[in-house]
Amino acid sequence: MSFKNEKSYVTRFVELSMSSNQSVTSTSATLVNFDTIRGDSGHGVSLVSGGNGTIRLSANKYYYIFGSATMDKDSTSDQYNARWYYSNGSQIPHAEGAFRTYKSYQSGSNRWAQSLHCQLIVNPTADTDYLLKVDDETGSLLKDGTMLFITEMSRQ
Amino acid sequence: MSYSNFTDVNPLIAVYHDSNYSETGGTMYMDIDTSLHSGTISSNTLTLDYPCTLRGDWYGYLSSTQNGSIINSQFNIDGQDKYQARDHVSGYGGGNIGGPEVFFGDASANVNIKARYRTAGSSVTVSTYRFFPRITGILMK
Repeated sequence: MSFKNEKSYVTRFVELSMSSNQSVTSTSATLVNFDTIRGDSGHGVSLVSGGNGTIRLSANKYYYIFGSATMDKDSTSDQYNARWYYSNGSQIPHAEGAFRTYKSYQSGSNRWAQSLHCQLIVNPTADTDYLLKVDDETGSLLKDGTMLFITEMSRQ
Repeated sequence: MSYSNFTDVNPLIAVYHDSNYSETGGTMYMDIDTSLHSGTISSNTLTLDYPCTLRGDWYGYLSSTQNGSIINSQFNIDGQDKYQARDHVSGYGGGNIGGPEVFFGDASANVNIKARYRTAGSSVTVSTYRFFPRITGILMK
């Protein structure tokens, strides 16, 4: 009989936020400009220099990310989405761990729920850039309500 | 006898149902068919090899004729309903039912994990959007 030295993950917490409100002037996809990062020492999350909020996650670590993009809307009727993108401009599908938000609305007379938290649950095999973008409404993204909370798990 | 290192296990959980669907009834369990990381799905039941913390949310609707047929959602773990918050439809007003957008649960290893609708009535039709319910979480050692 043999015994291994049992190993567990090193877990670190990271938070991304904005230092000021962000004006959103187009209903097309607009990158959320995260510019502030804080977290446990040694984490593998970074904001890409000059990337206007582009998030870089390190290879071979496990990431559980959730958060919200909160907008002071210009319209009382329009609503907005928050979706994940790769740096090549393609939207990341659900099947790759990118869970977008869904509007709270009524389609006809149906009574709809809402899903306003975005999630990204990934294990990149190479350092990978991720972008969170909002669309379908203009207004002001609020620094007080736009944040991502990241749990990072890595092997010792 | 062998022992596995926990670091040989993917600690992430991300589960959903990959198409729209509707169900009618009183006590209904949500359908799930896709697991991106850890977790085995059989008959809309998720099992995991380690204890875990779970987060769920649901997106869909009730028809207007079902107005007042309260729907919120919650986990059912090892046969027990969990009440750590309940999601609920935005179209419902009045009464004393409220809840956040998400619902939570905690499960031991190798137990049956389900998500269910909670309704007022025995014949409520619930329409669930593609990619929901979302069940996510992290395994613990």
